[in-house]
Amino acid sequence: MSATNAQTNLESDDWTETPSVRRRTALELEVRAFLDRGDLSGATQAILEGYGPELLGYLLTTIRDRVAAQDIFADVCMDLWSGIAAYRGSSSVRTWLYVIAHHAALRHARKEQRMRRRFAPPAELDRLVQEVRSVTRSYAKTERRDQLARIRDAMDPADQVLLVLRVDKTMSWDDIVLIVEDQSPSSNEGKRAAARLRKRFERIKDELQRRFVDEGLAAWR
Amino acid sequence: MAVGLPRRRESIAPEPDEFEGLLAELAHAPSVDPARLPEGELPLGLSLSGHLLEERFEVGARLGVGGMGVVYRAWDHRLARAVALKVIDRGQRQSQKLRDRLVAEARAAARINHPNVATIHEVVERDALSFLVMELVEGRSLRSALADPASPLCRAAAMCSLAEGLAAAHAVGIVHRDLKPENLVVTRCGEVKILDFGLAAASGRADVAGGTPGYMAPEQEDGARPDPRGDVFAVGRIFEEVYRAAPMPRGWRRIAARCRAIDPARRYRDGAQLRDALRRAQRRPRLVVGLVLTLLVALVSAVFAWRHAARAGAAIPTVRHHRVTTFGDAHAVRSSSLSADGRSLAYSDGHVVGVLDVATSAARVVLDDSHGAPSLVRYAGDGRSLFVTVEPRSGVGPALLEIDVGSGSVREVAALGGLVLALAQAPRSGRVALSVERGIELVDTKSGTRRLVVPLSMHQHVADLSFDVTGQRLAFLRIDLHERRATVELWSEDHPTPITAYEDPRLIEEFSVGTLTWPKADLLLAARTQNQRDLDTSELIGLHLDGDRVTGEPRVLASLPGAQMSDLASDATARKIAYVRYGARSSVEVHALHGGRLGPALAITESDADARWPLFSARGDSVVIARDSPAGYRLEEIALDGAHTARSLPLPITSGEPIDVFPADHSSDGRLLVVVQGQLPGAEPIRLLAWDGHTMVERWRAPDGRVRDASRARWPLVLVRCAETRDLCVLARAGADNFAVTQLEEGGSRPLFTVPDSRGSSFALSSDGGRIALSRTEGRFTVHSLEGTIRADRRLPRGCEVHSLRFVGDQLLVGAACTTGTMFRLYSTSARQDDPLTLLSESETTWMTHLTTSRDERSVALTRRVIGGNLWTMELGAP
Repeated sequence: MSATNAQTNLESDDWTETPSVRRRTALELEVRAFLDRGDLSGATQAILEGYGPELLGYLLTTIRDRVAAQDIFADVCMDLWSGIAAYRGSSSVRTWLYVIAHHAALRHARKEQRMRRRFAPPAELDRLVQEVRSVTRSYAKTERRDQLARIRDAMDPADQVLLVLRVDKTMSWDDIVLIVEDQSPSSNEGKRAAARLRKRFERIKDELQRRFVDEGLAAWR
Repeated sequence: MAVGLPRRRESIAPEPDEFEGLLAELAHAPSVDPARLPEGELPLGLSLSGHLLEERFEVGARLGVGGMGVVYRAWDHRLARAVALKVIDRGQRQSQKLRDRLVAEARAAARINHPNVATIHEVVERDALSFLVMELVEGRSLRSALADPASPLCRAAAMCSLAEGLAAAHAVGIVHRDLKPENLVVTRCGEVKILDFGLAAASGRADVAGGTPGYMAPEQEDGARPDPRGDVFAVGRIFEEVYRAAPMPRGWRRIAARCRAIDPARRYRDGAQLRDALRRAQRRPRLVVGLVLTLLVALVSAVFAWRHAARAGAAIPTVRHHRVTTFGDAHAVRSSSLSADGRSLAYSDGHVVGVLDVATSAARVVLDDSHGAPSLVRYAGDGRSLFVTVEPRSGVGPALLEIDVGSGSVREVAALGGLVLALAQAPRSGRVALSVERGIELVDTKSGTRRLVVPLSMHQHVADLSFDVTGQRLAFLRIDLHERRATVELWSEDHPTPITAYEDPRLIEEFSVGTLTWPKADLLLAARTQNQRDLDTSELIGLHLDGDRVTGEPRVLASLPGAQMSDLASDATARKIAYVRYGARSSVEVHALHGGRLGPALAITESDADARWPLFSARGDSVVIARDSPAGYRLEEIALDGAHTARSLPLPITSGEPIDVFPADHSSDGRLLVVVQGQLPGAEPIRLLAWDGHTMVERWRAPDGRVRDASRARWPLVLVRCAETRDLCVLARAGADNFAVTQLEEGGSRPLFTVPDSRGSSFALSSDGGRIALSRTEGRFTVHSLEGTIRADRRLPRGCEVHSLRFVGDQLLVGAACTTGTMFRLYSTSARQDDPLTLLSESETTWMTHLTTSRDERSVALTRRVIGGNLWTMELGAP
C-alpha cells in the first residue's frame, strides 16, 4: 500500500485538525511505511507505542472493570501481533485497532456470560471480582466528579462506547460504524447503521441533558 | 443510558457550551500508559492467564494481586491437580530481593506440614519468571468474611485453627511476622489456613524488615529479632477484630488480652501455648452444653421430621424425567420455554431457535442466526409467537425479536443495549421483562419502549424472572454477592418497590440458585444446586405463596444428582416442567478390545477442562488428545505408562482465535495430522498441520476453505482419516445438507464423491483405504467404495442417530445417540448389509464420542462426557 492511499483514507476522516491529529497522521504514515517494508514487528511496536495508552484508557473507561479491561487489552495486543499481516489499509490503523478492541471486548463479554449461564460461579471468585471492581471505582472525591461518575455508571455500556468514540476520540461516523457495527461504511447496510447510530447518539445526548439537570450539574435555560 | 426518560424540552435546555463541556468530561477516556500502572497491578499485555508455564502449569483466572505479585489459579497437568501460582510482578521481577523473598517463603512454608497452613508445593525460578506453586485454598480471606455480616463465620473454629497452624509453624522454628486477616483464608469447612510466609524467618534471624502496622508487636516495630511472641501479638489483634461484633466465648477474653500484652514476656510463649490455652478454655463448657445441645437437637429434629413427613407425605417424590433432545455440545440448549398447553417446547442453542413437539421430539427451526446469535427464548402467552433475545454479532446489535411461530416472520421489537441474563413474558399483556446489567427493564412489545423498573447495585444481578399468570406481578431472583443474599422478590406496578417474598441464607451458603418460574398464583418453582467438588445435585423446590409472602419451608419436588437444572419452564398446570440439564466434565478413557467386547475403562484424563478427540500414537503407547479449557485449545500427548504423564504439543497458530483444534489421524509417513479451525481474520478458517515429533508444519491446503460466512458460528465439521496400509488420506466435510469426501494430495485435493441428506457427524476410513463409512440422517449409515458406490446401507434402531463411526478390521464401531431407550450406545457390526448390531456399551448419562482404535486394533479410546445442555421434561404429581 502506498503512502498516497493512506493519505486519502486519512483525509476522508472528519477529524478536526489539532496537533494530536498531526501526530496521529505521522504515526499512521510511520506504521504504513513499516508495513510496506514488510516489517510487521516494527509496525506492531509503533502501533502499541503510539496508540497503546489511548486504547488502554478507552478500555478502562468503557469496560469499567479494571481487570477485565486489562485482560481485553492483553487480548488486543495478542490479536495485533498475530493479525497485523491481515491489515489491508481500508481504514486507518487507529480505527482498525478499535475494531480489534471491540471484537475482543465482545468475545470477553460472551465468554463471561456463557460461563455465568453454564456454571454457577465460585462465589468467592465472583466476590473478589466485585471487590476489585468496587475498589477500582474510586473516583476523585469531588462532588461534581461523583455526580458524573454516577451518570456514567448508569449509562448503558454500549451508549458509553458511542459517546467516548464520538466525543472524546472524535471518530467519524464511518469509523464508528466500522468499529461497533463491523460494517463497511460505504455499503447500504453501513449507511443505515450510521443513520441508526447518529439517531441513537442524539437520543443519548437528550437523555444526558436531562440527567445533568437532574443532578444539578446544569440548569435549564 | 436510562431509558424512558421524558424527551428533551426543546425550548429549555442547558447552555450549549455548558452542556458540551459536561459531555466532554463525561466522555473523557484519558490515556493510560501501560508501563506506568500503579504498583501491584500486573503490567498490561502480560497477563499470564491462558499460558502454559514449564509445559505443565496451565494458568487460569487471576485470583488476586498482592504486594509481591499476582496469584493465579492454575492446573498442574503433571500431577492433575488445581494449584495456585504466586508470580512475581513483572515490574518487580528484576528485583533479586523479591526473588530471594519468594524462595525464603517457599523454604519457610515447606518446613511446615499442617492442615492449617497452606502447603507450598515447589518454587520455580527462571530468569524471566519466578513463581511459587501452592496449594489452592478454596475459601475467602478472613478479612472479607469479617466484612460480610450476612455470612455466618464460626469464629471459634477460625481462631482455634489459626492457633493450631501457628503452633505447627513455631514448632519448626518459623515465625510468620505478617499475620493479619488478609493472610488467613477461611475454608469452606470454616477453618483457617495461614498463607503468605513471604516475611517469615527462622526464629532469631531476619533478612528483611517488614510487617503490617496494627498487627506488628511493639518490639517488632522497633526492629527486634523475630520471635514467636510477635505472632502471638498479631493473633491478639485478630482476636479483637473477629469478636468485635460477637460475644467472645467464656474465658477467651483473658486469653486475647494476654496475647496483646505490650510486654512480650507476659504473652504466650508461642502458638502451642496459645493453642493449649484455647483448648482448655473450650473444654469446660463443652461437656455440659454439648449434652444439652445434643438432646435439644434430637428433640427438634424429631418434631421437624414428624411435621415434615406429615405434610409432605414422603421425603422426595419419585419423578419421571423425560429426555427431549440429544444435542451435542456444539448445540447445547441455552434457553427453553414451554407453551402453556405443555405440548411445544421452544429452545435456543445459540445458533438457531427451534420448536419441538414434546410428545414426538420432532423439531423445526423457526429462526436462524442471521439476526444475531439467539440467546433467550420465551413463548408469548397465546403460544403463537416467541420472544427471543439475540446477542451482538458483527453487524448486528443485541435486540429483542418477536417470531411468529406459524409463519416464521421476524419483527425487531427493540434494540437492546447489552447482554440480557434473563427474559420473561407477561401473559395477557404485551410486555416483556429483561434482566440486564443495571436492573430489570420492562419492554412494551408494541412500541418497543424500555423502562427500568428495578435498578440494581453493582454487586447484584437478577438471575431469573417470571410473571404470574395474570401478567401483572413479576417474581425475580436477586443475587447480591456483596451482601451474600439470594432473595425472591415480587414487583408490580402497584408495588414498584419490590417486596421480599422469600429469603433463605442457605440458598447462597449451601446452594447456588439461578432459575425460577411462576406457574400458579400461589406457587413459585425454583431449582437449587448444591455444588460439591465432584457432584452437583439439583433440586426442584416449590415455594407456596400466600399473598406476597412465601409460607412454610420449601418443598423438594424432585432431585437430580450429577447435573444442574437450568432455565425452568412450566405449563399452565404446573405439573409438566421443562428444564435444561447440564453436566460439566468430560474425560478420555481407554478400553481393551477383545473378542468384539470392550474391557473395563481406564480413564487417562481427569480435569475440569474438556478433554476430547483421543488418537493413539503409531506405536500405541500414548494417546494425543485435544483440550479445550478456559485457557484455550491445546494438544497433549499422554503416555499409557500407568502414570499418564502428559506433555503439550506446540501449536503454531499465529493468527486469530481457534475455535477447534483436534488430532485427526497419522499419515502413512507417521506424522500426526492436526485440524485447526479458527475465526481467523485474513487467514484460512481450516488448516491441516503435521507434527513429526519436533515441529508442527502446515501440510495440506484444506479444500474450499471458506465454505461458510466466517461471521457465522456454525462451522463445517472437517474430519481427516488416513489409511494405514497405503499412502492415502481422505477429508470429509459436512456442508449444510451434504457430506463431501475428497482425497488429500500434496498441494491440493481431489473430490471423490458427495452424499446428500447427511447429518455430517462422522465418517470412517478402513485401514486398507478401500471403504468409507458415512453417517446419514435418521440413523442411517452407508459404506462406500472410494469412488462412492454404496456397498452397504444400514440403519440403527428407531430413534437413534449415528454420531461416530470407526473401522476395526472388518467390523464397524458405531456410536449412537437415541431418544428412545438408553440415550447413548456403542454398537459393533460388520460393514456388510445384513449383519446384526451388537451392543457393546450403553449409558443414560454419558456420551461416548470420538471413538478411535490403536493400530493393532486391540485398544479403543473414546471421550466420555456427561451430557450438557439438553432439554428434559418432568411430570410432577399435584405440587
